[in-house]
Amino acid sequence: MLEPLEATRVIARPAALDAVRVSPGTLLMRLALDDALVIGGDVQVDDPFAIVVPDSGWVAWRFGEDQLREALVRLCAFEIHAGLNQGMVAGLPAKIWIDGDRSLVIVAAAYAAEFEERFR
Amino acid sequence: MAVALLRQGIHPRGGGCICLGGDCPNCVVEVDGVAYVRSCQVAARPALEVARQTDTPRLPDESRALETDLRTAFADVVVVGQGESGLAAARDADGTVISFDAHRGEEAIGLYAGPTVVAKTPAGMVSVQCSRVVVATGAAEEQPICPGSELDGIFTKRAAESLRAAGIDLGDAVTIDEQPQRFEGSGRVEAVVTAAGDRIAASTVVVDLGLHPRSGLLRMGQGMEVEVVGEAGLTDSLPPPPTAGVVCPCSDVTVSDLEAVWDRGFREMELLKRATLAGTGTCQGGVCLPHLRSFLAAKGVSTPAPFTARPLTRQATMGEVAAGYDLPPFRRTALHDEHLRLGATMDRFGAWWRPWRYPDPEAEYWSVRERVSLGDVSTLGKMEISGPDVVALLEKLYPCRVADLKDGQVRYALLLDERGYVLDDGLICRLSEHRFYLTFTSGGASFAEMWVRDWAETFDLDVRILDRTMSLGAINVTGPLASELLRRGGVDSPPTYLAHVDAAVFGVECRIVRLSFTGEVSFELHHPFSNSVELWRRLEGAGADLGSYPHGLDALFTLRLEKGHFIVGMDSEYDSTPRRLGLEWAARLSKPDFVGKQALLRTNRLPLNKRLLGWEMDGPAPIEGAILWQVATPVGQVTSARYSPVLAKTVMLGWLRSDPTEPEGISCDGRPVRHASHPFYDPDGARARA
Repeated sequence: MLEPLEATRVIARPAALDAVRVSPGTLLMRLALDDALVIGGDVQVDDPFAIVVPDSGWVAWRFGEDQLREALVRLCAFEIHAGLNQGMVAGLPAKIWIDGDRSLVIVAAAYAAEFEERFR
Repeated sequence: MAVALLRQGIHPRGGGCICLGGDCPNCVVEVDGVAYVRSCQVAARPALEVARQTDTPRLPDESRALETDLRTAFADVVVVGQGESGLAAARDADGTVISFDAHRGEEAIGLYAGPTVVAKTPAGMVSVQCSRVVVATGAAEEQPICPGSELDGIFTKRAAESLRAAGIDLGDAVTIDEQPQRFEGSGRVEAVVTAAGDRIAASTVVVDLGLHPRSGLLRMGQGMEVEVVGEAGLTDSLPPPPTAGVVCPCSDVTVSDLEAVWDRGFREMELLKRATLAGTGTCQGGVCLPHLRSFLAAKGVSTPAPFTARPLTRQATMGEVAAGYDLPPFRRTALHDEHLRLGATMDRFGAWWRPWRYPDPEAEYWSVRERVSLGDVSTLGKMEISGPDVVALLEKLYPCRVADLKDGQVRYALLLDERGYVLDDGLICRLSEHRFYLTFTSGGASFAEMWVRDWAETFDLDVRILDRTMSLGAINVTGPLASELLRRGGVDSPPTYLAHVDAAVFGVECRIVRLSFTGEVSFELHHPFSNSVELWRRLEGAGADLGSYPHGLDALFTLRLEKGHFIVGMDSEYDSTPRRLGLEWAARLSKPDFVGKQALLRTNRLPLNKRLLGWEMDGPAPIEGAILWQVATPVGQVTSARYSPVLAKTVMLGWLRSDPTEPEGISCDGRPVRHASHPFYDPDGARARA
């Protein structure tokens, strides 16, 4: 169910992240003011002190939006909306990206086995 | 179900006024092994097992484990109650509305801040987060409080109407509209004596004594966006004060009981409730609350308010209470399955599953001391931090010097709180002028980011912080042949002691950090999570002819103890200062400032009344936590104790709480204990630096 996710983590000044440039087709999730997770593309950020590192510590579950909503609604303690959702899913910290056919659930790889067990 | 039972001539509980409104305990039964079920609120279905409620209900057996789902929902408005006023409120509300109707088996049992409404439903538990709650729960009918109220054949007016509508013949029923003096009969009512003293023979008595608002949820929601409509908002008039009989049929509290506790000085509603347990039972005051208030009013207590209402308003099974609760998760390193493949016994430490022991514990230990060994240290806290103010922040955060670290250097560091107590320890690795890599203990990792961020904001310093604990794996390659194994992996120049380099090991990009927790040459290979398995297997294969064998936590605890390394939280206590731990060198009091400095300056002037010391003894290790005695006086306790294979004696760390000039005459487990300087093994550190 869950697949390894190769991503890039970008920690930078909020203003620099506001103006971040990514290549076409890249998925950028703004996790916090100073924190972004970038999937599937190049990223350029105008902050000489930015931390831009490959991040393979995630796994993802890809779904169509409808399937995802149906599967997750019973396990979420928060209301799912379009775009990035962050919170506890089945008691595990997770991120849910809702965007049509590109919808996915992301959890830390260290929680992957636990997530699958709880989702069964 | 109550109607079905009554149709068969069976009183669900054996006696007591039946209301069929869910407001009293007089129809509770055990249904399918679940105790205290109001039979008036449950639909009768074929094959339900119904039993008389006993005073000592059993827990359901495992075959009836009642696991219940929880659904979280969201709405603008929640309407509780679907009578006339509830339906109108739902119809007129703006936005999304979720309604609960007790007649459909949906009972709102709790109202929490938010507001959040929690309800039991036939489909499981539901938790609704909303903006506003409308309480339309209606009113409960007043119950008779007098001798004989426990008899069969007494019904409230609405219950009688429902039963008649269901075609049940109530016989020669008589209706009264005032609290009676008493009911007479044996098992079933035979007569009622009215307030005026008239005795009326009847096999059924219908009581029409007035209504009291079901205010539990409303009282629970004080300070929240809660509105009340319909009968639930009735002004509550008090009944005449009870003079005799059972006031609280749930807890079997009589008027005499109330008088007794009143005489003992319990003269407020909350005290009356606690002293008698009235209102704490099945119906949560549905029957007794108006009468308790009336009792107090008659004693001169002006307008006694109802007692505090708290969730739950209804009984819930353990499964219902636990619905939606998830056990705290335990993380798995990327090497979890590798450890299982190697036959490791896994255990939970901190927030992680970790290998405790592999099949050959002796090989674990001796491979470290004599050859080379692999250890999974992926659980260590790892953080990258950069920014123009990063040195300023770390100088304030750590009690050691940071600015003088050169690129590629590593320094061991304590982390102190404002009181100078040790919070954690770890490494500071300088990557470049404005960039550092920090490590923390496995247990301290989750706290570390918050701690660093908090101080960065407090000092208003410009830094970027990234917790990489779960993004990076780490493998400790340790033992006299560790350097050789790295060379086989393509690292021709492994870092020197307390240095680090970034290099590929068997093609995997690693940050190689050299230190030593085991007392031997040690390299921590920090690497991308996704490369952990590949790196582990390559190291395992290349080290096979070197006698490599992995080590787990059990062996590691012995190895580190031989070196006298303390473990935060295992050997340290909440008030352990560097001085008490014998680590004064780790706090540079000559620095301008750091978190905890002022506290250290003050406490360093106080007598040293507890110290973590090294100890040794002959024979097997005592249990950790064993008492250290000085003659017959307990003077401390052992925090870590292991029999050292290489030293052929037991070595320990332990707190000495008294402050004798010399810690002499100490015993533990009935055997003499000798104070010993530590490290016990390789005190000069020559092996680790080799």
